[in-house]
Amino acid sequence: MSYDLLPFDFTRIPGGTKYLATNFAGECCLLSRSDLFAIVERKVSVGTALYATLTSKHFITAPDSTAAFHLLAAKYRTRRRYRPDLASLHIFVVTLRCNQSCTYCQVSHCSHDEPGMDMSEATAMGALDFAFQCPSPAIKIEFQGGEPLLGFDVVRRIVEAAEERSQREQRSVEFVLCSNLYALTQEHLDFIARHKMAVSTSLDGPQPLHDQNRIALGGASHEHVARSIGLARDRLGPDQVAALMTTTRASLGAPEAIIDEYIRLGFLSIVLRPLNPYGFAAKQWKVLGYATDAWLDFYRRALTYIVKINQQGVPFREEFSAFFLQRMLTPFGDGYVDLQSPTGCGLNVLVYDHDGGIYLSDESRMLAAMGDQTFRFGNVEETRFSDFIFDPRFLALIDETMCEGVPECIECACREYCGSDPVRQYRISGDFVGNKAGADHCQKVRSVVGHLAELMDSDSRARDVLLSWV
Amino acid sequence: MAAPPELGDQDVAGTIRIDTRVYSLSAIKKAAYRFSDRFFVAIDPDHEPEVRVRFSSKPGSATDLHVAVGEFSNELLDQDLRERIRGETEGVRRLLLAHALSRVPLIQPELETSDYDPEASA
Repeated sequence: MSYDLLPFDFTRIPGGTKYLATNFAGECCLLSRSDLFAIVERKVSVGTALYATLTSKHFITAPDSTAAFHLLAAKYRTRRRYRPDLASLHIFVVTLRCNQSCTYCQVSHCSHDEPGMDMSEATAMGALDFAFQCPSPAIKIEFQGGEPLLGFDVVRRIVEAAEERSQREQRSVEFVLCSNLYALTQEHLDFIARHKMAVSTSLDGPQPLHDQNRIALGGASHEHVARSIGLARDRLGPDQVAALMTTTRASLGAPEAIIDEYIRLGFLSIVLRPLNPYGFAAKQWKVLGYATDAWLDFYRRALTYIVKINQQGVPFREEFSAFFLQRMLTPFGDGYVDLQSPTGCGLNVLVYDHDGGIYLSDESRMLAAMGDQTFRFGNVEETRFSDFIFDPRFLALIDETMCEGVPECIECACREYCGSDPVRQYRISGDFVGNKAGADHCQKVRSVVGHLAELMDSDSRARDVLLSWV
Repeated sequence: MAAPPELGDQDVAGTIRIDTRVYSLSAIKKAAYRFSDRFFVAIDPDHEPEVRVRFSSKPGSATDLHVAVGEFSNELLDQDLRERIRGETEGVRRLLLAHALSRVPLIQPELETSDYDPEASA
């Protein structure tokens, strides 16, 4: 026998003939079916490229060597290191009022002048106190809405109080303002700059597409956001302004135009984010929604274009791919909330609604806005962090979202790159696990990971571009 | 091995006979699970050494039963290979996880620090 097997899993890439094989340190290989059988039957010869790949990635090892054993253990430990940073992201919904009426709004906002929809100062301070009860040494506070610029007084109050408290407790704190920037003024920018806040806005593509999706009360939503992005970038610096894109059915035929618009407005990256079935998006699904296959076609076409642009000398990243590439090519963990095992909802992120309600994620709050309180865990005025973290409902949620114990996930080669989204799953199937056979989520993750692995395997120039994103 | 399927009910249902000397019941169940989105799948073990797996199309499912049966046979091979890998590497997997987590005080942190004195706490 020329080698010993080490533990690994394999999964066929959807729509293809190749298999993705991974081990629990996250190392991956693209293999044919005959490769797989050859490996197990000890038919891979020493000196071949396949033998070298399998050895270097710890799928097989020489019988007397312990090096792979120690390296695998170290990589596994490194990959799991991120978990101790419990609840480091805290989302404050400072108002439900909004000055836009986006077709896919996932939070079911209210009109810009509706009373009783702002977070009070007492609630804001209660939420801040709750956030600082979390053990994380680094706290990130994100302001959302509605439109947080319409509730900027309470944003100011939270930022100043959080800075004072973080200094006292020797913890770091940073801030992100998630805004459509429609109402942005110089006064806002002064405060944002003074407190080194980052800005995240929404940009869906060129003017006709953006204006079709994101309807502003005063019109010209694209014109406003483009101007505000320029103002904010000039004042805060180019790396302090980011944008998110939401893919609607109208976006599917125009990936190149969307990417061109991002480049025209000076962005160095884009997130090809699919539509989520919450809020108005759920109500409008027949008009705005699409099948997972359609989004995957859009994603592959967009990625091809982005790779081509990079090869022409324009550095530009696709962040959804970059996130998977980091998990595929490095042992380092990350805080990407949507794909954690167990779930990042509550463990990585907490959301405080304008009325003080505590939720596990932004999507949980969206669900509550639709009348379902499953993911509401008390109120900042009454609930302590310790009450929340030991709440049997939350513990059950953690238990059910560990991929290592979920049917199908337990043997999936994408397990190390994937995670549970219990809120979305609950929305689809009424439970936190669902039936994984034919699940859209699995199809999406396997297809994206498989596409990236195949690109790197078959196209050395594309591989160079993808590697530059890690 | 899997015998050719017996189809019926205008090809919306069919039964596959599988020899359990070739495939374990666990491999058969895992393979069957992967079809549970498109088919109702019933496993009947009362025909040793055969297991009979009956597929019935779910309403609205567009998957061709003949194609599904072929995919199921390939899936059985994959599940069998997974069992071989897992069986052969299970000991190493457990040891690796124990080694990787050995520095993490999981149960009684106060007893797992280097200055723990068992006599003092006796």
